[in-house]
Amino acid sequence: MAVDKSLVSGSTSMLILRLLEEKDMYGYEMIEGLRRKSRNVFELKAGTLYPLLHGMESEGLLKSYTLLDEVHPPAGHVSRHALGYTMSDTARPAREAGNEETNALPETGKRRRYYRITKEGRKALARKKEEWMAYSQAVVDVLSMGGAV
Amino acid sequence: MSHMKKEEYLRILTDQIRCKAARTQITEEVRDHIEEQEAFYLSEGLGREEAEAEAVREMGDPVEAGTALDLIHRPRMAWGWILLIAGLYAVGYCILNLLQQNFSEVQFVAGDYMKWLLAGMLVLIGVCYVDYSRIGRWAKEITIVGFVIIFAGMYFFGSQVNGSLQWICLPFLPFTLNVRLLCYLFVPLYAGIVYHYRGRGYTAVGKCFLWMLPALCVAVRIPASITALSIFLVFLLILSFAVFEGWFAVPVVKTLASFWGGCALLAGIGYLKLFLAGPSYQLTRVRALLGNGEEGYQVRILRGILDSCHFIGSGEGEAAARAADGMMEGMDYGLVYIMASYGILAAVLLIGLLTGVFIYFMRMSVGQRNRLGSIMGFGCTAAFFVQILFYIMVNMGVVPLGNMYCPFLTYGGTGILVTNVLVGILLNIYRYQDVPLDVDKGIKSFGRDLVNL
Repeated sequence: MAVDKSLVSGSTSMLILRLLEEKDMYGYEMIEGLRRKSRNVFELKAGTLYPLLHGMESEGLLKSYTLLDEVHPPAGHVSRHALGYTMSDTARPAREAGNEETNALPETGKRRRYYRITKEGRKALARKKEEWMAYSQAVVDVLSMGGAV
Repeated sequence: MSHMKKEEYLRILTDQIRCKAARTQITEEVRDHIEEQEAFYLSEGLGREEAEAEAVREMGDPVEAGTALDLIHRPRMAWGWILLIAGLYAVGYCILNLLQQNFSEVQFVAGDYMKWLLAGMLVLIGVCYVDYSRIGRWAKEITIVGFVIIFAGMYFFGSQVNGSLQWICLPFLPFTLNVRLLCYLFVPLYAGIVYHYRGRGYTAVGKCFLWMLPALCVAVRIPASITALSIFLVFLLILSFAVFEGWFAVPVVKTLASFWGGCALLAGIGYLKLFLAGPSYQLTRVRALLGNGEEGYQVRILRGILDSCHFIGSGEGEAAARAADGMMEGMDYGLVYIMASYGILAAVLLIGLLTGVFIYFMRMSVGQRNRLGSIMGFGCTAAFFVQILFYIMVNMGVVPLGNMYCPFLTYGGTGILVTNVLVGILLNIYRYQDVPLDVDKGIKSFGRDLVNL
């Protein structure tokens, strides 16, 4: 279904925060996740996504870190290896993501920059969700009204 | 129809980003994305060229994306902070001159101040505008070169005063450098070295202890035991910070307990050895340092002045300070003179102001997204806090250490230069906090040396 893109542009950051609330993700994974979960309604361009992600990180809503993933990992068994933390807070997510495996580094791997939602990010998501619910409810109310105003 | 290639897309994108330091990481991230998309199209049966073209098309307009990224990743202007630092020096200079007038018999050496201050501000601005990741990347090399230069300087141009090789008289230049203060330049370098050892377990922690040696060797060679002690304390704080943050993948509590417990144990063994078999003059000195020995002449004068100080304004303390007849020459005891002339409140406010500025820098550093910036900033502010702490202790007569330096307050050319290098690094971290810097040597390669926490 094609929808007016302006309707969603302002809410993309909310959708990204919602995705990251579930788990840490890298850019490509986010685009795929958003497309799949919206049943192909939201097809975000990477050129739009990265400025948005970097801006949100700058505001403290997200933190990023780099990991080395095995190429084509079996579903649900992504082995992540801490690589380098150059842009963001990185130590804890790396530990959570299996840092103990760093001694068994695979010969080849795909380096990916993962994003993690911060406490401020969760607060911002809750606020945005509330605003969106109020807005969408208002739209539904107006569209479904019957009779004269 | 010709399609845009991956490298062409990346070139156009990064051309829009004015801050060159930010380009490497952004390029890596976007290239990785394109390659991921390309791999997907290849798996769908497209040819290599077609897959690349399609992946690039999916990215959208590189100019639009690059312009948006440029707006985010711009170095912040640190002029406000530079003005604040200049203001702090101005306050220090005014106090120095006021005290000079009040205690004309005491030498505060205010005359030379402007020359050093101007040189110091140039150093500050210079360091502030060289991105600190370069210092971090080459920390080991700079440490070794710095160590060799300082040692050679001490050997060839060192000036020995009372058995202490504290000064280096630069040839052909009207500058004399205080080696005790130069030791603090090793602090941000040490932080950079600790950063590069992250994720490598206990062996790396051991190596981090070894990298303390260059600065400590210089301090011991002077010899300046209090400088060695304060530098060691700062190094240990830096290492503890890294362990606490989980950078070494070692048990935090156990490791920190062994660091600090081990130090306390060594100090205890040292004291016991001194007590049982050491020369009596050394034992007397250590006892005086710990406050349970016979009070020294200087400390007695100091406590006499402090007891006569008023909370606000000058009181009998000023007369007592005059009566001391320049015993505590210079700004090493500046805080005492300030209390004697303007009251305890003025001294508390001044130290409060300095502490407030450094607490801000500490919070800004610890909250950094860039881990290298975080630890370097932590190290610089820890050095300032240790300096201020020792300075207050000396001024309060808690420990008779003598010759402690306080940033912005104590007169001293080398002090200004070293303080400004450290403050310059802090401002630099502030300036580049929105810029994803390339902090590892050879980040482009996948190597075991890059496997870090």
